[in-house]
Amino acid sequence: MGKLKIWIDYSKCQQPDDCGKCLQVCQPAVFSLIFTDKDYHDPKNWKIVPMFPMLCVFEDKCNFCVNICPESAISIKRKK
Amino acid sequence: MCKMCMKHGAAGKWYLNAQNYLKETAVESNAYEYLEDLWGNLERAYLQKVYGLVNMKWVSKKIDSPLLGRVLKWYANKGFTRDGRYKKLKPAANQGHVGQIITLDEAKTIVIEKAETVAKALCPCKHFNRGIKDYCCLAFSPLLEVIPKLPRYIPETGIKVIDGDQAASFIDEMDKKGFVHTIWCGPVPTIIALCSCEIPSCGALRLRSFDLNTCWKGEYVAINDPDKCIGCRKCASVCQFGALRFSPVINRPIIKPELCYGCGLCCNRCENEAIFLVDRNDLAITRGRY
Repeated sequence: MGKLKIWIDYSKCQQPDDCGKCLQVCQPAVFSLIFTDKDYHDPKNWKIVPMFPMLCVFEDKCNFCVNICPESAISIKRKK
Repeated sequence: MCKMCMKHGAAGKWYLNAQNYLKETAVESNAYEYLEDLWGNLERAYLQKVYGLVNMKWVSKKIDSPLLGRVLKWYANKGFTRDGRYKKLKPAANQGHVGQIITLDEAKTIVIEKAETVAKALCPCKHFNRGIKDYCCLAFSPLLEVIPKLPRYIPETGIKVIDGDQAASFIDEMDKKGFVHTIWCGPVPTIIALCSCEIPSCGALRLRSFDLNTCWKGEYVAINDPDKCIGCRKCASVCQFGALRFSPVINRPIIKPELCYGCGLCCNRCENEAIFLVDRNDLAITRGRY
């Protein structure tokens, strides 16, 4: 049982504020929409981060966030 | 009675003291400066609370470890104690921005009688936890002056000033949807907002699952009267905290007082007044546990 890692490819996830599908589909609300360090008052610079990976209970059995992402930017892996 | 209520409650509950809603209290406790700091760093503080109180990656990984994690949580909870102090707080770690769960009746009394100006505002927590822009917060006068300065979550169109009766019917509406009502101060004892939210979407309530007391439990605990109860199961679907479960064997709900947050949602659903609220400090198991 290694640590669970959730990756988001930020070159694909470009407009998190308009999309936000992974935020809603996740039942324990693992993801969060937060600002980047550049300019946090501009919503265009925000990004989605897996804020609480320890809450991800279903792991690769559910995969809803992976499947719903229109840009397929999310990937979940368990470190060995 | 807790120290918070002794200091700021004027022989009652701290959130029912009308003085805490006044502008003089806000000026005295330096609320405007504090709120600007807090509002600018809202999710930064949120990150730091879970992932480390100082912005270090090594510390942030240890928050779940048995020994060091306990020390870190104790340190984080120092900003959310109920002793009613409000000096030397760090807005960057959300210290002093604490809330408490209140019942529907108390929420209505507050918006009608106590608060000076009430405005409906978009909820920042729902925005960054779920990506939903929805009205659910009621902001009071000190916060209203700070929000337009930092318009990232709440633009000018996202805030509407309403009167007390409109606010009361809005709270009613939220209660029917199944949201719990929380009162927020920033810093102690200035009261800035009344929110209606649910557990994984609320930024502070969800941190309770990490043993961080950012939002205190309410002053009450729900108890079921089996004689009046008819077993209609209307209460069974509303509890967000896992405290109420319907038992098919006895055909009555079972309430665990140690898990109850005293929000009163199940009482409002009950048509026979079988579920009622008692003071948290009257029960030995919940005394002083907020």
